[in-house]
Amino acid sequence: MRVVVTGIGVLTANASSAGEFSDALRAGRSGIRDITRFDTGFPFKLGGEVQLEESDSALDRVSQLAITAARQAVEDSGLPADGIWRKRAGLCIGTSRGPALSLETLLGSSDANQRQALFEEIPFSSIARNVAGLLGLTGPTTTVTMACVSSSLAIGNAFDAIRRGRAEVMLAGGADNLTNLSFSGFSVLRAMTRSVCRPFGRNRDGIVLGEGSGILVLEEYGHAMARGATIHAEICGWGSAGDAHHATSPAPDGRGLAAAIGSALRQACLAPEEIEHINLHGTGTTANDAAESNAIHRVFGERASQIPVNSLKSMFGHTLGAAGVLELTASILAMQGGFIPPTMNTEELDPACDLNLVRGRSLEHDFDVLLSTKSAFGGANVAIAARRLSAGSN
Amino acid sequence: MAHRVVITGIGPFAPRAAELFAASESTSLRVDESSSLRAFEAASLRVHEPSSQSQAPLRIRDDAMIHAAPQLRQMDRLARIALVAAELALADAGLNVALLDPELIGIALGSGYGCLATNADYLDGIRDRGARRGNPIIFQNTVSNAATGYISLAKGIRGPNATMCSGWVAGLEALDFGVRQIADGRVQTMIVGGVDQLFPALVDGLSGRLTQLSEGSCFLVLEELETARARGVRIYAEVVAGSHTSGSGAAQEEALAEAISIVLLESGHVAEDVDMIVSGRNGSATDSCETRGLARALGPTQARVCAPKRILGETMGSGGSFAVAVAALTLECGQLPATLQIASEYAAARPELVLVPLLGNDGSAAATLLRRVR
Repeated sequence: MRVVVTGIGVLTANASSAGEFSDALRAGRSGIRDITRFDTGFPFKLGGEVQLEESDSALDRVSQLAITAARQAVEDSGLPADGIWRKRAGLCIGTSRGPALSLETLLGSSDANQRQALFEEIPFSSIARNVAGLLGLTGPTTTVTMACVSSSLAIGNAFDAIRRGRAEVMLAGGADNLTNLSFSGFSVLRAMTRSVCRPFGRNRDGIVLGEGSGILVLEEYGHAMARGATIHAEICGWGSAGDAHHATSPAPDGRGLAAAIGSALRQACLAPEEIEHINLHGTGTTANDAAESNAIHRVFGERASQIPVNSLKSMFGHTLGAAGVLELTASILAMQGGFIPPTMNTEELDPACDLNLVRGRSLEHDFDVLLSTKSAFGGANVAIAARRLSAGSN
Repeated sequence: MAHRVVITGIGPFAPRAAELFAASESTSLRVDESSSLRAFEAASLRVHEPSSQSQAPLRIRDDAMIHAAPQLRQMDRLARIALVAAELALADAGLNVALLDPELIGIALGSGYGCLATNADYLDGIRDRGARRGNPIIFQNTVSNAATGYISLAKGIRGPNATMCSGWVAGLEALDFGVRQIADGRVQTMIVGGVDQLFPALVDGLSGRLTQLSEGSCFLVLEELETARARGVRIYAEVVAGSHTSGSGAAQEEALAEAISIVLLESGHVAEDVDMIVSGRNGSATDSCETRGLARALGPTQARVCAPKRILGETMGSGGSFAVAVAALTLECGQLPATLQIASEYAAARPELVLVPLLGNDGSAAATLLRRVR
């Protein structure tokens, strides 16, 4: 059973729709600014903040981010908002911090009524509950909390649900907020850049945080074809593997990520030679980028330094649990548009990361098969393979 | 063709877990104090015996980690609880992970609230001392997959790795994820489970809704059937199907009925084949919803019903894992735990097919079907 992408919803610091996202990626337009929503408490304040029109103050902001992207995705898919398809449709949401803003407010509140209302919002699963309830989805509803691979694994889970016949349509993706918790935490871990994020750069010094949400409508191929849907891409396979190395640092040799890539390629029935573009995690930290480069070399050998690769976090920040879906979406939009988005700010490549990094400006390039890789705290790694649906198939 | 998946190890760790599981006389499964201690010693950890009172939190000594590997000393309480259960399950399965291909064993964990207690600790700290004085050790545990990361690290597990926080059905979500990894041929072995812990905001929020609120973790070892047979180990049960649906309010009973119908359909069974149900009843308002959902899916049924939460209390995200453990144990040993207060004439009949239905706290519903392996 084949799984295709028929709808895209995006909310990032540099875009509030799929169309804007594609334009921003092609232009290398950054949404990184000083954070205004809260006082970071640090002399550095850069982040990728989303301009969100908050629609329902009873819901945590992260749910509102997810709902906005989900509505966009359903609209883009052409599925009727009140259609019968919802009976055979599920949802898989990934998040790292979840409703951390509600938790923070609850902890500081002495108002019993407010605390009770906030209590309903603080579980990670409240995002999926809110989105599924609003859209009327009655299929499997899952919340994946795997730090920075959360939404990648959510897409993998949704892919499996369709392939197993559990649903004909799955909304899959993720959402995360910029919060005090994240900003403070990554800062005290000394993982934050004091200047700008320079993935794979010789002088890289850390991440810049962002926030956002991305939702894809995944659909069983026959179901999509029967209703004449526009198909953005086919998800071909995914893989997950652990490092078993360290709580926060990746295995330096990239073994876990390499295993995840291998697993994804096997499921997709793709040989490494068939991958034409890789969207990397590329956080801009010394440890991640070197390990990721090693993983790519383990899997792709000599081609590792030839395949055009990128990291997009310098444009809209590290969106944590939403990074997987947003960056996969970026690659799908780029495949449709015939270009590869640039890695911004990286002027000089780290010689230890011998990769063909597209940087500075986008590369006009037609490609049909892509890979997106993400890694996370806890030694988690996920890879997803996708491709353009061939003209004969669509 | 999908591989068949069986349960070969059970690791329950919760207040009153011993009372629930030790009643099964014909099994060697141990959950008592000495067993828990052995598990901890294996991980260079030590722990007090679980409390015998439901609602009393599991006691884990703060100084218990001095002999552990440096990274494991940084585990938060949630990860420590989960590690105990994982150790118990692996020991019960007689599985030495070090002898396996590390990429052919994976881990999946479900939790209703994940790392929220640790997040609250971190936030309390920066509220008191300022954002620049956050504790980096606490911060590294403010991701819900920290527990699976530490267990992977402690055991050298490098296969698929997942953490779900899908509310109170999360343990069954993790089981389903694990089954799928083996059925699809990605790995031969998965350790899967659920975990949740009590913390002040949670206890406040749930007060008045439940009669018994508890905490704990239960892990299961899943193996591909032929791999397990080749090892010559005890096989508790086969996991034949699992499903997850959603609804809210009155729709939740419909969601449960749908979840049960899916597992029956996928396994090729009919309602009459189910001869035991491990209920998720917890004394709350949703109990009647479960009853209606079961009636809707199964019709009039002669299946025996047991409710482990009468003993364990509501352990939230690990509740489904405990229920599956009870079902598996009963299928293997042919005897219901006596402490479940079920009529003795029922206990004599050996079940063949056990249904585990579960309602989530967020409108979701799940069902798992287990079969005896001959």
